[in-house]
This record gives sequence, structure tokens and C-alpha cells, in this order.
Amino acid sequence: MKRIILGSLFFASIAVVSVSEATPDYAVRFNNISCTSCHYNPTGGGPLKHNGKLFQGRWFETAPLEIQNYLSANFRALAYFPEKAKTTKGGMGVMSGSVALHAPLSEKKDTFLVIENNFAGFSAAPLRDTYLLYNFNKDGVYSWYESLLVGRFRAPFGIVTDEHRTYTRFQTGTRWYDFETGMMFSGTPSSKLHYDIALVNGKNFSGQTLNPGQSEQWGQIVNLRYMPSFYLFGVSASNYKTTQAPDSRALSLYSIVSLARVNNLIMPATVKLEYSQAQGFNSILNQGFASDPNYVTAVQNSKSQAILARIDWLLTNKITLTYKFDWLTPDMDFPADVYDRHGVGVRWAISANTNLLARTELARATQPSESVKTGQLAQNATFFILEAIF
Amino acid sequence: MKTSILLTLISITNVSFAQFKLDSDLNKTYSCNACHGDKGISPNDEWPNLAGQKKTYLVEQLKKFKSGERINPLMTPMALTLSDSEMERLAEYFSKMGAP
Repeated sequence: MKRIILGSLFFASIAVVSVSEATPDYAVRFNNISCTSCHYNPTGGGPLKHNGKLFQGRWFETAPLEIQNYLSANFRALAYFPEKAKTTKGGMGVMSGSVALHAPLSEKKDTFLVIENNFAGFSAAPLRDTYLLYNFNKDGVYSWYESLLVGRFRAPFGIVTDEHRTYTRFQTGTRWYDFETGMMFSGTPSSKLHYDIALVNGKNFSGQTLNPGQSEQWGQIVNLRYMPSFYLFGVSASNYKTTQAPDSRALSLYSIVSLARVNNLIMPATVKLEYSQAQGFNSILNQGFASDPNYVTAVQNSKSQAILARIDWLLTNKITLTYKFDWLTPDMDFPADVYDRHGVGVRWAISANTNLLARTELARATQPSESVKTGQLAQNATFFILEAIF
Repeated sequence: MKTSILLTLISITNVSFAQFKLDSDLNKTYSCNACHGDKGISPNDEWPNLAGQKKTYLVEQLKKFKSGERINPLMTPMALTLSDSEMERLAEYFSKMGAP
């Protein structure tokens, strides 16, 4: 009896916790491994195509899309209340305000120019998705060669998320505002398989900011996703040459399970799991995340590991509950120094492509210098984000 | 302990759960409602209403999406997950819904 109760509690713990229905959730739930069904970028994220805009705003009447076929915008406002609000950064602010132009350059609509610039907000990179994209096939056609992208783009690495404080993302230098410059070749040979291969070689020009660990010389990224059924497995690897630190490299193993695809009536949920290792990116911790700069200096070239576990439960078509767990060890040789964070929240679709997100997070940091809790990693926090994307 | 392991294995293996899918709400079960509306009425001018549509026509279109004869980046992958009998059930379900 005790075993049955424990087993039931295990499942209840998976089922009850949850947040937003983000992009990877759609991919698995609707058996659509190709991100280009909704996004220009084959990795996902960034400006949406016509279908993506219709799909995202599907529960509401959307504005006419004539202009939106060529223009996109992303607005996020934040109200952030950390545990140490009086001594650290807190309050309200505009996280981002970006505008993107995207237009076909040929009559066949196989070549697109995408340019996105962030005019306002906290984000370090004003220049975002900015690339020339050539599609070898029409959307919806499975092929080993799908597209070639040249320019500045999000790295095809791990679980794509637009949440800035996902430990697996900043630990591997792939936050939603980290961009690489180079070229990416992508293919979707079947409805079950997708791959991206990128060669990057960024330059830290003004307006093209590189963050710690990102490639200043030739680097490579490989991403492979396999989706045999209602679950997806993925593996990503990167290796950058940089003058900021010894060669940086990262590995991610991830999985997404759509319980909603099994039975949307009983389990309208998605489970995401990711494990990642990285080396050479730890200087990112100095960007307001860790409390003690000396500790960051000590571990900046160490090998780190992180875990993401997240469950999103679709309460109604417009309200999603989320549980998120982040875990990070900045130095694998000192596994006792751990940062972890449990977050519970809700995402409410207010109107077409407009969402309000509320979440409260409990943080734990065992590194002795984190007792002062001046960095974001060590502090409990509650925040609200208003986002409008079209 | 064995119970927990068994439950975990069931949850992560590719077991067919089709028997749990309820005829009473096929639309939500198969997520058709995500684009075609809870009552088979599309939220925009570009996606078709399914409520009251002819059964034969719906089955034929789903089969064309699955075979690749008709290509759509959103519908093609959805149709690939459907068996012939599931297409029949869905088509019948929508054909019996009241037309707008």
C-alpha cells in the first residue's frame, strides 16, 4: 500500500506542477518537429511567420496580418521583487522592445531577409536575429537539406526557451539574448528527425555584443532532435574558440514528453528535462547572477553542470500552470557548491499574442559567499512579466 | 517500489493509449480544436471550419495530407499521426456537428 501511495505521489508531483505552453511543447504535442512551420529560424524562436502568428493568437480574434507578414515586434515589461529588494536590483522595467523586418527577396519566396533590433530593455544585444535565409524546399516538405542561414542567429542548442534565468541556458551561453554569427545548415529528413549544423565566428563589434564564452574565432554547433512519438530526445554540442577564456565547449541532453498528446483530456501537460555540461562560460555568472565576483573568478574556467526540469499544465486554453526546477553546479570538482531554484507560476493569455506571467521562486545557494544574497541566483523572488509578441 | 518503477516505465514507453481516447470529445483529444475551434469553427478566415463538413471529404483530405499529395506545414505532421480508423472517427465526429 505504501508503495502504491509513493508511486501515486510521484505521478501527482509530475502532474500538479506546471507553466507556459512554449514552442518546444507545440513541436511534440502536434508532431511538428520542424520549427519553420511557425518561425523563420529553423531552430525556433525569433520572428514568427504568418502561420505562427495565427497559431499563437488562435484563441482570440487577431488583427489583420497584412503588415504583420513583413513586420514583427516583441515587448516585455517586468515587475521583479527579489528577496533583498532594498539592497539589490528590483522594481519595474522594460525587458525588451524589439522590432523585426522580414521579407521574401524572390518571387518563389525561397529567400528571406530577417532583421531584428532591440531598441529598449535590459538585454545586452541590440542586434538580434539578423540573417539571410534560403529555403531549399517548401514548408512542410521533409528533406535532408531544408535551409541555409547566414548572419546572426540563436544557437541551435538545447531546449529553446525565452526565459532568461534558465540555468542550462546561461551555463552554456545560449540565453534568449545570446546570438552567434556565422552560418547554419538545417535539415528535416522526416517527421521524426531534425538536425542543425552551425559554423560560427563572431566579432565583438559595437552593436554585435558577444557574451563570455561565445565564439570569437571558428566554432561549431551541432544539434540533433529525434521525435519517435509523444516524446522527443535531443542532443546538442558546441565548441567555441575564444580569446576571452580557454576554448569553451558545452553538451546538452534533453527530452520533452507531451502527455497532452497521449490524452489531452486527462493529462494536458508537457514535461521537459535537460542535463548539460559546459566549460568556459562561467564568467556569465558575473552579470548579476552570483553574489561574489571572487568566486566567479575562481570558477570561470571550471567545468559546470546543470539540470532543468519543467512541467507545464494547460488548465484552460488560456491559462497554463508551471513548475520549474533549475539546478547548477558551477564547478563539478566542488559538487557541494550548488545553486537550485523551484518556481511555481501561471501564464495567462490575455488577448491575441499578449500574455501575463506571474511566478514565485525559492532559491538555495550553498556556496558560503552566497550568504549575503546580493546576486540573483541566491535570492528568492517573485515576478510578473507582461509580454506582447506579434 | 516495483509499483513505482512499473508506473514510470508505462509513462515513458510508447504504449498506445488510443483506448483511453473518448469518442465524446475527439476534437480536444486530438487537439484539432487548437486550430479549428472547440466547436469546429475556425478562429480566423484562413483556416477552414470543420463543423458540418462532409465526412468523405474530410477523410480524403486527411489521407492526402498523410500521403504528401497535399502539403501544409501544420496539417501534414498532424495527419501523419492518424490511422485510417482515427480519420474515419474524426471525420464522422465533425460531420455530425452543427454547421455554422
